[in-house]
Amino acid sequence: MNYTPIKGSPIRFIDPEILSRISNMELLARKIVEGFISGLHKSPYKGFSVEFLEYRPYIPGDDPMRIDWKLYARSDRFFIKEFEDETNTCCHILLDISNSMEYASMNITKFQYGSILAASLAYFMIRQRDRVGLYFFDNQIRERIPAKSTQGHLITILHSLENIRPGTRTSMGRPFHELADSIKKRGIIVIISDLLEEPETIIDGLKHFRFAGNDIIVFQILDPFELTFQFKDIVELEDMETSERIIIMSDEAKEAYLYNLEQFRSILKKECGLLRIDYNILETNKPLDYALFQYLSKRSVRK
Amino acid sequence: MSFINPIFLFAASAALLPILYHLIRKIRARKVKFSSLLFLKATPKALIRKRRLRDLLLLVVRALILGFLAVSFARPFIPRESIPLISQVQDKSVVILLDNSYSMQYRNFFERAKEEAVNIIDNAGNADEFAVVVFSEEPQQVSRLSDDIALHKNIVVNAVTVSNRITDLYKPLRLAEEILKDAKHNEQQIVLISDFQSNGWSSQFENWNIDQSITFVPIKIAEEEVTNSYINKFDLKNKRLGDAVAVQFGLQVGTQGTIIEQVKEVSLWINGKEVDRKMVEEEQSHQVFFQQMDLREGTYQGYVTLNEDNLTVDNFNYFSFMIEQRPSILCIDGSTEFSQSNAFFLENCFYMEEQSIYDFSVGRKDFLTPGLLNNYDVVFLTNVSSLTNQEVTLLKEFVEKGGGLIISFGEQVNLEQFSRNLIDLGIGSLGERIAVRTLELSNAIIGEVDLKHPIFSVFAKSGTGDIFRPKFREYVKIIPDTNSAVIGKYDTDDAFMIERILGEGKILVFTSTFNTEWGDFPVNEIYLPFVYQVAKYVLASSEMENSFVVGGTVPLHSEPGDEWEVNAPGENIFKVTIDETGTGYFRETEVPGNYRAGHGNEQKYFSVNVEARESDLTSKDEAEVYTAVTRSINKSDNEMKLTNLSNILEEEKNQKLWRYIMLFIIMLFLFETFFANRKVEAKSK
Repeated sequence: MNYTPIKGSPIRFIDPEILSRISNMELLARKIVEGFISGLHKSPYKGFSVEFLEYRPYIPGDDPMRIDWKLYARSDRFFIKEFEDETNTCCHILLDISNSMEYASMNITKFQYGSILAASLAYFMIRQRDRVGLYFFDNQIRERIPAKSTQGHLITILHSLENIRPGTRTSMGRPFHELADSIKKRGIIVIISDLLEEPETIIDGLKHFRFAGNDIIVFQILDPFELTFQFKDIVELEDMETSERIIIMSDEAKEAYLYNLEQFRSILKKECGLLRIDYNILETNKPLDYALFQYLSKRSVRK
Repeated sequence: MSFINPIFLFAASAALLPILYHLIRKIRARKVKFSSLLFLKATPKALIRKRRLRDLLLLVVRALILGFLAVSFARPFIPRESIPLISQVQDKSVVILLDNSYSMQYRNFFERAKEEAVNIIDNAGNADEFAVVVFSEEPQQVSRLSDDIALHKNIVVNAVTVSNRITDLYKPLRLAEEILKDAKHNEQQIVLISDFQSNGWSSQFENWNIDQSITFVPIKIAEEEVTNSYINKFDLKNKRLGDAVAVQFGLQVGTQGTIIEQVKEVSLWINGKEVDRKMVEEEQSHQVFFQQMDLREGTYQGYVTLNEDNLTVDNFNYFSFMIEQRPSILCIDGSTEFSQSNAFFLENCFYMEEQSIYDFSVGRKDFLTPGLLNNYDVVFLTNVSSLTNQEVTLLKEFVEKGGGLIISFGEQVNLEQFSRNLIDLGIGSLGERIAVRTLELSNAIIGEVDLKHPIFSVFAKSGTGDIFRPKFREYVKIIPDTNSAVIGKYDTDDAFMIERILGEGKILVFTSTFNTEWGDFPVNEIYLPFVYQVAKYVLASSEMENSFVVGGTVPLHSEPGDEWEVNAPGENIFKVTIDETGTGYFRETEVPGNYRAGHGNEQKYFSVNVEARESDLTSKDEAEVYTAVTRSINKSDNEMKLTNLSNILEEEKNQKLWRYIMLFIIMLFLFETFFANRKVEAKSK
């Protein structure tokens, strides 16, 4: 189940199933990000650039990797290159930990996929010297890790991702509104969820974030089975959150299900479009590179 | 239902079970946890129920398809015994062998045998075919292989009778095998109905056994305890006492069976009258002798009989004999004086007054006339100088009609002329007269004779070489003709006696003299028996064999074209025509008894008896018989298995159930395809 790369792009991709076997989140995040960046440098990447802004004198503690050695050769003094993306952006990652995120038709759950994505984003953001915060929610905010940009903070984030356990039912209204009220400084909101709730509730929450001046990226993570509904014969389905059970004839129910799903996605897409929110669907069998690309793209536009 | 390849059923079960398990699982609703039921609605229960019913039906149909496929490959068939209203017996071809030898006359054996045969025929299947063979010494097929049950039954009941012949069990079994080669059914049987007499089993069974594809069914007709007495041996000796003859009848009574019973008495019947009766004594080894003295010239027929028992045909022994007029001997001597002549010495031998066995006369050459010669049976022609052509012709005719001619020599014989006579008689030519002493300085003796020849056989019994004692000073050398035979030689290697058979009579030529003229033979003690043997020998050819066994062939001799009338027991009359060789053969000797054949004035009497060995009723049991015919008891189990397998394969082949099953499978498959896809098609609409 490999992600099909952009046509002509030699970007390397990592099979999420393989990633799920790596328990060390830091290692995982690093692997993804470095692999992404490595691929990024090798490609004639269009639509993205990290532009040079200015030089500033070297201060002890700066990353020696950023010293411009040519300027040193000319000036005999140490100067650090400042790039456009080195502005101190604040990112808030919202990760859905409701029960529905535990669904998996393969070896990786939506939650695992979301966790890896969140870890990768956090790793990447902190590497870009952005501040990153992480919030776990189901029908309420379960855990908050306010935004910071230090290396130690990254460790905290990754550790939380490793140890967090699924919650209960999905209800995005309350946590969204609560968080929108608590975030004072505008930044980037990254929502990682399966969004399996009434669209009005979701939209309402997103609007609150938007009206606060935040940029929003929504990653709807879905399992391939949820997208294709490949059940056969008579099946008794049990809701993972409500424990409600229904018996369906798969071949009869599939058409309706897919139709409803499509309708749902259409509404979200439309509303997100109106709110200028990036709405992306990620399948758990696809590589994470694409998500990272989306993030970077957003950052560059913001600048 | 049975199967040719049941292994397919087991194999199919192994394959079918997981498939069935899978199919059953499909009917039941799988329980699955799903992320959210946000986009789903429960399917109405009625629809679920309908769907489950459909899935169940499809499950059944698919299981049936697989199951019947396995059954089809297993090649099923329905054994005939399982099908009601259908005959349990497979169509078969049967040869019934019915023993009609004379041992089957014991009590009601033959009737019981016929009942068995009828029973078998009555229980025949609709398409069964039969052939019936009766057998004793030779098998006879009385009905051809066919399914005409009524015909077979009729033949067995009305046409088949018991015979008076002995048993041979080998030939009918071989014949039955041959008959079954044209059988139309695979199932073939040979049913042997017999008393299984031990005497009926020959050594031929050691090198043969019945074809393995044929079922052999022995049916024994017997009783636990059998008793039988019979005449085992019989002989008849006669002794002439002048014109009368004394006849001794000797017989031995045999007793065989599981219980030996004493025979009480034996009767002698001659020419329709009981002439004597005697008791049988065990101490005398069951031998009985009768004597009838003073029987005169005539024909005698009769029988000896035992008292009645359970098998009567072997209680009789028939006989025929003829007492002829006392044989007449004419001695024609060419000697000039009677005293010391050949005739003198011969007469002294033969003449015993009233006790003389032969009527001896002495005559001269002029006795050689047709009228006179016909009165005599034997002519001694001694020391005759020569014969005229007419006399030679006369003598030839005399011999050809059965007379005996004995020629000897002497001083009167004209060697040159007599040589021509002997040539004409087919004896040979005369050589020189041999004076032995002149050549050998000693007399000649008889050096070599055929001791098996009837003339000399009596001398062989003495064992002392008496025949070699007579001395001969002179003899005539003869070069024998190709038609004559030298039956004795001197020690000089010249012929002593020559024989020629001419027509019904014989000519003997003694090359010396019957008197002392050329030797001391007449004074030798063997002279008398020698002369008697010579006379007896030339007389014996006129006697016809008069005792035959049932089924034997009786030759009758006369002129070609002659017709004889034969009176057989039971007042049956048969005709026999003499062929170009002068012989006619009478073969209707199935009934034991006394027969009379006549042609013109000529009459011949003979008797027919059963063969005594059939009277031994010792029998084999059915198991022995089965083993003897099939060669192996164990093999019969295998044969049965092979026969059964062959029958099973044939039945399956006839029924071809697998075809119908395949047809049914195809129909099921079409139904399954239509039914399984029907919902999809409806939705498409």
